[in-house]
Amino acid sequence: MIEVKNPFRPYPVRIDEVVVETNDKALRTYKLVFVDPEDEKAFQYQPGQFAELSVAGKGEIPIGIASSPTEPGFLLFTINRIGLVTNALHNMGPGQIMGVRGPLGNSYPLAQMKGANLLIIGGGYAFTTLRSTIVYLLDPANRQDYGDIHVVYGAREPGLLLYKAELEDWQKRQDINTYITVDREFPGWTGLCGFVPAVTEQHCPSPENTYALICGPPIMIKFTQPVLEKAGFPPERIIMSLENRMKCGFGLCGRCNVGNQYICKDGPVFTLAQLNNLPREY
Amino acid sequence: MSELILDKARLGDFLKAVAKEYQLWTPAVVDGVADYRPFDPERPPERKIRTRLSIKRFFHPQRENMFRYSTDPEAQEANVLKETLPQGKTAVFGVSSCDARSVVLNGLVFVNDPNNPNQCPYYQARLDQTVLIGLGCNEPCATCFCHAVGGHPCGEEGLDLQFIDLGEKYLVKVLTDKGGQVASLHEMSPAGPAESEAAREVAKKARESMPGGFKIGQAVSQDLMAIFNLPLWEETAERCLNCGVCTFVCPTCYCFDILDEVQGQEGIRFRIWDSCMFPLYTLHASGHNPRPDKKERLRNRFMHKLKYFPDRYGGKLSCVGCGRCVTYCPVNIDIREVAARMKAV
Amino acid sequence: MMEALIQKMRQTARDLLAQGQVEAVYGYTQGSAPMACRPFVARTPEETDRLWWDEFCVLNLVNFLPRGTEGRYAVVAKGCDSRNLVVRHQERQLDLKEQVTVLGVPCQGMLEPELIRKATEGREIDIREVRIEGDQVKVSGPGFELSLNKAEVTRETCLTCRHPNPVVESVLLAEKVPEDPDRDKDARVREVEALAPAERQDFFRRLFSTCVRCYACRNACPLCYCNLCFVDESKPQWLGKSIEEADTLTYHFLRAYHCAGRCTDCGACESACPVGIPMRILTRKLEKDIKEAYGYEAGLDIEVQPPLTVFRPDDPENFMHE
Repeated sequence: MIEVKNPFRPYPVRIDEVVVETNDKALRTYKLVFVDPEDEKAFQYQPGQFAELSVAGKGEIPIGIASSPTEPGFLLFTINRIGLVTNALHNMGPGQIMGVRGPLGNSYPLAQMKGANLLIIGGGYAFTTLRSTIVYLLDPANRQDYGDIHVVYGAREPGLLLYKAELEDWQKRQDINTYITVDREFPGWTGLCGFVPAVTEQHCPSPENTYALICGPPIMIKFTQPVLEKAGFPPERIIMSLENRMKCGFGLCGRCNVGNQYICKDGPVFTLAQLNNLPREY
Repeated sequence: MSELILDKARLGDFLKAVAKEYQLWTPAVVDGVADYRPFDPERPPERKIRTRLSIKRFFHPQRENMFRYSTDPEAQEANVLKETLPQGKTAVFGVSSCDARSVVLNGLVFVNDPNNPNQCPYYQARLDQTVLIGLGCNEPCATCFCHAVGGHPCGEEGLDLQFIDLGEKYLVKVLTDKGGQVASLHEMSPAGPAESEAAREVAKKARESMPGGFKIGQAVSQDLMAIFNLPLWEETAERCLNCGVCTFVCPTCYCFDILDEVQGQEGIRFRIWDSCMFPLYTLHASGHNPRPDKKERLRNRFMHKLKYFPDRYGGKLSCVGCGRCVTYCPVNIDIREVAARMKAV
Repeated sequence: MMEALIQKMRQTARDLLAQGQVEAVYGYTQGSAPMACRPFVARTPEETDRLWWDEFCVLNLVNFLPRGTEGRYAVVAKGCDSRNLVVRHQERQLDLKEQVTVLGVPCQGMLEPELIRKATEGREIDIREVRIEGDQVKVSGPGFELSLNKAEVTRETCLTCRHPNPVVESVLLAEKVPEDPDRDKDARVREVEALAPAERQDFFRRLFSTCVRCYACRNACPLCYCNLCFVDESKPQWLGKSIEEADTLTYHFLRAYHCAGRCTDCGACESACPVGIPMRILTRKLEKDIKEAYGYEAGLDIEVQPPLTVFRPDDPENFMHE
């Protein structure tokens, strides 16, 4: 038996800052700082991974890590207010203590994708681990390892877009092509209009030596996947990040399985090729 | 591995000696129901009794407290979780070989998974603190099919000591150091060759008296999606109540939920048995449920036990063939029938 | 007698399906273990050959019926089951007149597998055969044979049954049996009522001490069809899910209250319980109270409004203090 710490115990973290991301206030980004610097050293993560956020007395929630490992000293998590724990969390503010367990899951295959172009597609508030990935890719230490980077990101309306500061910054850069869209015309919005699948179709780069990373609500994936397939992306180069109800987060409690794979442990990142041989139970 | 002899008449003395060092549990019938109870020195077990609920409760109890914490904002370490590992020295007598195997099988997930750096310290603590004293089956029970899933009526996997019933006496096999320590608590003479042979005969006869030739493991080699799409699931699920009885009586069902409860400002985070039969098991906070109907849930349970688990753990099935689910399922869903039909792809 | 009943059941079901009068027939078929009870849905005339009936058909088939006013089906119903059809109709979960063909079975009482198991004193896993011979139930396995009085292993709810004959039926599958609608069902309840509070608390604690919270009782119950059971709510959470005594007692008491005025005492809950908890004592108590307060028994008359769903000016108010 492998001698390890107790993987059910969260590292204590302090809420450093809370940023309300969306105009409906349903999404907030929490900046968390480890109480014990040793814990931060133990928490080595890669873009695509997630953590279980723990609120004592309420429970835990699995949330994708939005910060990039190239941003040391803190972790970022963007959280939608929807259930018991997230409601409690939205009532917490800077200075309060909560917990983080992780990093959990696998990560986007960044090493494997070196030398390739990247098409990153996100929708709604599923953009969190994609932020982690993009910040990582744009870091001077990493940028030259990758080819062209295209980002398609859409929300229902401008007020619901996440990470507006980062989006603005990326739109100004030369080393990344961004296509930020909202579903319909909106007063004051001068950017693209249209659903993510449609915008992807319009601006789709060549599938040649390109990986597509896609993260979004089931409905968005349902209509974007055929666009990519039609464009000629092979299933091994369509990378998806899945979600399911989780509790332990590391493959013991059983509930997040898709066939013989656990989303928390063998995922959440899977290629479409892998998913085509598994039941659609996610 | 030493073999010893204990006269049946001395079983009570042996158990009393064990009870001095360990919290000892034995099968007992109370109000007509067989369950593990704290050893009653006035009433040592007189015959083989297979309990209704399995030995799972000693390693993976219905409720396992994991952490304590204070939610008092003034407290020094408010909201910081403090581990509460299980304590104690436990011995269980009269364990059937099927139950003992389940401890090893569940252990593959909780403590012995070479592909998982995250393992469970609670299960490990209970393993470390518990001694299992088996009693081999001279005869299979009515619903037993341990031989079809890689087990044996007198199997030794997971046990520290194995008792074999030779009529007037028991042959006692010492299987581990822990078992040796327990055996040394009471004087026992070494077994002679005739007695060892008699024990082997008992085991052989028990195995031979089991209904012949079906091996469930063949489902393992079939294509996952082909089994997934069989009409079998719709037909079987029609009568399923999604009640969870099968998962709770089953020694190898181990799924759990993690919950927090606070009284005043003192909180506990604990885990409890959960069941893939319950709709809440996979329900997303958004309201989406990837397994919305009982057909999907029933299918997932059988596929997990007979296909997904062996895919991950070298072909071993997550089933020990005890047959409890067959006996206690209110609608008589029979895993033997389901397994047989999972082969017919 | 069973033979004739089964033949008539199969023939009737066959005709109904062949003539397209129903899409499905809900009944039972033979199971794979002694005392097994296996619900079965026949959807073609050929499948009706598998229909079966014996003294172990202890569940309530109304529990398996689809909810909603679409579709037409037949269901095999003994007295208590037929009353649940009435209840479901009153609760607008089905249309008894338009949708349901009731294959009524005047019931002579069902045996309780749990009582037979308990009688073997821990040898239940060795039961190979259970045979009914006259008024004896023969239970045998390697090395043992028991002969039990049928009356001793008949379900408690059947021994005190007031309505063994179906209250609604389209077809009667056997001759009606004598019935006594004023029979006393409440001896056991009175015993518990007579206990002093501390003793009564002990009684309930012991009763539910082996509950593992599997919810078989709830899932077997034809009344428990809520889309989200109170047990599963989290905002707010009404009770804990572990086997803490307070939580377990809360679950059983609350569920009983949700069945009050609706329960026909079909006993499916007790029959489904894997650890043999006789939890009907709770619903019996509530039904006794309803009978005394409102003169009402659930599921007898499709036209009568259940008392807990209507207010009448002359409703008793003995809980109001002067």
